[in-house]
Amino acid sequence: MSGSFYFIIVGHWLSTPPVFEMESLPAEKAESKDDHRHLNQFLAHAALDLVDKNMWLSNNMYLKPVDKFNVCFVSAFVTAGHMRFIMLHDIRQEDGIKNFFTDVYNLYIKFAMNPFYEPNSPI
Amino acid sequence: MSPTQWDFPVELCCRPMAFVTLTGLDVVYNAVHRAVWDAFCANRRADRVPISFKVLPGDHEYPKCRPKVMTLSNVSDMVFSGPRHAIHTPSPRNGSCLKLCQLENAFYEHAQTYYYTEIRRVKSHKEFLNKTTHQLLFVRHQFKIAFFSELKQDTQNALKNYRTAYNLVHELRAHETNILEIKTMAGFINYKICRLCFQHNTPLDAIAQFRKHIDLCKKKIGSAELSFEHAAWMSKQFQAFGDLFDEAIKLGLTAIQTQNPGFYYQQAAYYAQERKQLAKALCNHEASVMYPNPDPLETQTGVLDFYGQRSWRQGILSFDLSDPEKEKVGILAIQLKERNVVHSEIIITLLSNAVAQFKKYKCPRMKSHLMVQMGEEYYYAKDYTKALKLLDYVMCDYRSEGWWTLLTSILTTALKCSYLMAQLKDYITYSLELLGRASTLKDDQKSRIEKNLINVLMNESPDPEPDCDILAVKTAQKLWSDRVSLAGSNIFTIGVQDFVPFVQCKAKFHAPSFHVDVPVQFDVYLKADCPHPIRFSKLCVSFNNQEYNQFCVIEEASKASEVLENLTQGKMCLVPGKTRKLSFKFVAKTEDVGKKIEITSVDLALGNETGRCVVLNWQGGGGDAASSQEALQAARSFKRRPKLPDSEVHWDSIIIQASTMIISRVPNISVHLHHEPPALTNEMYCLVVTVQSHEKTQIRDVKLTAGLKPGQDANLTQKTHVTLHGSELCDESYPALLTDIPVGDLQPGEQLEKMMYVRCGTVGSRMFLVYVSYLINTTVEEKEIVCKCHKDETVTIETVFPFDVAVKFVSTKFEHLERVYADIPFLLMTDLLSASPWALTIVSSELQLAPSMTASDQLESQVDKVVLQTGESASECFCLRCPSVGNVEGGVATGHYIISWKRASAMDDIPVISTVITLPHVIVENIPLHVNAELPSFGRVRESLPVKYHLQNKTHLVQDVEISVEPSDAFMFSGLKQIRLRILPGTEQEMLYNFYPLMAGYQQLPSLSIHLLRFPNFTNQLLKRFIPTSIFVKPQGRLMDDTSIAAA
Repeated sequence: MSGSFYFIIVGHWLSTPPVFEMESLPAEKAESKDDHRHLNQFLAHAALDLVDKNMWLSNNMYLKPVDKFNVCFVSAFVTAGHMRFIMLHDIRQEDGIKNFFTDVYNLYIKFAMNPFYEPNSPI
Repeated sequence: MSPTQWDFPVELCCRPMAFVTLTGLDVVYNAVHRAVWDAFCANRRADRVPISFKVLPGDHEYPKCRPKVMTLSNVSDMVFSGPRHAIHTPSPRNGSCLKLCQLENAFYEHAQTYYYTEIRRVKSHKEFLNKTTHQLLFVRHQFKIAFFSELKQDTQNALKNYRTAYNLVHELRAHETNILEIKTMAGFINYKICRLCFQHNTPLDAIAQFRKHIDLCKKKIGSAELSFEHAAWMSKQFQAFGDLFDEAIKLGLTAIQTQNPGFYYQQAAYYAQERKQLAKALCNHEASVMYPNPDPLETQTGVLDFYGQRSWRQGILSFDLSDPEKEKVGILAIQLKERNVVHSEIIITLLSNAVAQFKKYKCPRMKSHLMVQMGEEYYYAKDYTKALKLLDYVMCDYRSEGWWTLLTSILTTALKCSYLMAQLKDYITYSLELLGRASTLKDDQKSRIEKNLINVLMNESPDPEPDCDILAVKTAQKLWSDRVSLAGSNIFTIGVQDFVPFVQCKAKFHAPSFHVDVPVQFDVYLKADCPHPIRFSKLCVSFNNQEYNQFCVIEEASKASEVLENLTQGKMCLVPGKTRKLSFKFVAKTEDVGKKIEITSVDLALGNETGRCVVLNWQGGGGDAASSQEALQAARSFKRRPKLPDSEVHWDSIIIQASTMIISRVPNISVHLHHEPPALTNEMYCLVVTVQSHEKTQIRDVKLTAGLKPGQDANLTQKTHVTLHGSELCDESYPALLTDIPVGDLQPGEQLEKMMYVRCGTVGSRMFLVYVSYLINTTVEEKEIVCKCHKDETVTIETVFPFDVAVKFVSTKFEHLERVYADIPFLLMTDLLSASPWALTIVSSELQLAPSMTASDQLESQVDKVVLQTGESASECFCLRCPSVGNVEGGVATGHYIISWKRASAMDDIPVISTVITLPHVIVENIPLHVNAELPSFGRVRESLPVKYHLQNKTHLVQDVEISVEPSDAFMFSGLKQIRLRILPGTEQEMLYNFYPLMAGYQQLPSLSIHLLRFPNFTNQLLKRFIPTSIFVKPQGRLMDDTSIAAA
């Protein structure tokens, strides 16, 4: 079961609609996709409480795993504009996830600079 | 709940205290004994030594010290065979409190010593053990030492020994046969350690120990067939730690958002859920499988000798399974028992504990998540009412945060609940939302739900929801068919404000305001998001004035069965994704002029009375839980919308406009004001109002309101007065605004003129309002209405002073005076400078003297009937005298100067305005001597010029006066050149001189010099103010006749 990742970007404006969602499962588990997606979303949503708390305690954008739910770690990254990247993963791999967040952040910034992109709308 | 196998024994969970038994007390029948007992046990305060008392009958049999032959590792019998130490006490007859405490302390010391020796005994025993053969006993001894230390209230040592015991447990070789026992022991010891850590106020140690414990034991699952036992054990570990944590918080520990008991309860709940899953998978035996007989779980004593052992192989140390058949039966028994456990109840209790904690530590989303789990668990437990209550509660949170996937998931469960309970209204509501745009369901699911919804509306039963319990579905189908047969109450009104239904509605007035003589128009836009077209039966719009409701109803009669048929026809049939516009028009009531017409609600009915009818109710002009945010997003969007045919509109571009103002009909008259600004202070300023009708028909009841525009400085109201009659002066009693002056009717093209007069008491600018209202009959949409129209004009008028008045005091020689001298005449000069841009007529002027002043001659006006143009001035001069007064501070009042005037252009009947000017005070000074000269107005060369000086003594004293006359080149003179004389008080002395001019022209007179012995300040300078210093001398004429003189 190791090697599952669930990544979500959460907006911050007026409410917190999810902006982008992606799931990566190991090849052999690909079929159970839709059944579990909302469970992951539940976890990510619940973790927002702790993300919101932790982001004021740290100067870094990357917050180490903020929450741990059974086998699932929740890592988070908060951009300067308070977009929240949340990653659910089942193996500890801080560096990899940090790099991933940084890459996504770069992409997101490029994306957000597009004048035709409306902030907080689904990507 | 009765204690289950997983609960910790109560002896483990309480705080150990020294144990003392009292015997020979009869607490039931003997009052004195009772009092003694109460003194020991009741209301034990914290400062008393920790002793647990027990009363035993005198003939109680004390346990014998068990022969130490058992070599089992199990330690838990400790708590049963714990130190019992009894002291027979002679019952004190009257034990005072002090005595009691002494007695108690004695008990306590005795107990301490006892426990100390016990520890020593165990320790000495331990030294005989060795690790290879007695590994199991090490744990037991260590635990004993720790427990005795705890009884001795030596918690530090207790903790140390528990820790050692804990490490020893994990050194034991784990095998399938003893793993449960090891875990049980580890759990007990861990509990003790965490408890003591919290007691020592080192919560971080407790948390660290607990984490270590979980990490060590997590993988020790044991028998796969009984893996639910491991989950149960894990759940219990977390729950117990949560309880400890919570208890510590109640005793003053502070927790934080990221570290609170909630997380442990949450984990406990998770493992309880896992237990349920595992139990479901492992215990699904056929109903025919019977519980084994004899019961392998039954023991001789009814209880286990040691915690964590299997009842069918108690006391067996071997790792080998001696009897596989017995083993199998035992496992089957446990599995069958597990099947009877109500897992949901356990899960829900744990979840609700967690919810309470997260609520306390402000983690709302965590709380919502757990509540969803709770709701789902209630659903599994078939308590659908509670499930719905919880799900309903959290739905709004997810909805407001816009997490549609999660909302859909919750709604799906809620729909199942409502289906299984046959709750019509809930079922419909959830269906509405699951069909809506917020739902992330696939189209096939949506189609299914839509079909069910239509079925429900046609008074039929819906199909069951997928994945429901078969038995529950059967019950539900019965319920549904019962519902169908019930008549009445089949209209459901559902407010859609708080969720996201599958129909969207926006109402929009064409304009923010409508004139009363044009029809009010608005559109209702509808859009369906469901997969199939749908037909509605009725749309009604309600207003704040309910009289309009009747005009805004669309009803389309259709049979219930047609809801899904004939879809392309009819106004009320909505095609998914297409915006439908329904237009309405009505004539506003004339009473509503100036009021707002508001759409209070829009009701859209689905289905009809013969089946069931759902009324979707939008408050105001539409919009639901998601629409305001969508509107905001749309407003910020730069996206180009694709072009649509003219008849269609983009849904996002429609902005709700739920209210409009009814305003009066546009007037068709002209109002002109004619006047000559600026206004002059206090004058009756004439304002001519001309009203002309340009209406096609007669206008009636024309009324005029005119005057100071309300809402300006309040002082202006006091100082502005308006009248229609110019012939009389307004006073304070006149109003600042004349209202509703009737001026009759006007035929088309007719014109009327009204004059009004304004009197402004202060300078400055004022706004004046002229408001003309009238009635006219007109027709709107073949309906005759009487419209009230009005037109207003405002004008700003400046008020200025008509003239400036300057006043000065001069001497009779026209020299400026700073002060006047008592009893000596002086002149008052007034100078009136016109500041008005219009010519002024000074009708008259009047000087009203103060009592302290007297006039030296007559005070008649010198400026009567004078007309002053702009910038011109008129002066007057009055000769006055001020009788001697004492020394008055600030001078003496002079009086008032009253000018009566009007505009030169004003008609005769316009009253004259009197402007009163208060004259300045003047300083009056007494002088000791007054001299006035009596001499002709001119002299002539070589002709005698007689001059008489009058010297008046103004004092009450006799005055010595020295008089001398300095000669002048231009005159010879005769008379006393130097003299010294006395003047009596109040009398006067005359000095007569005869001057003889020698030269013509303006010549200096021989100067008179007076020196008063008593008043050295009386100087010649002062004297020169009163007497002339020079005179004009004419040359000598050739002829001495009168005519020539007159000619000169």
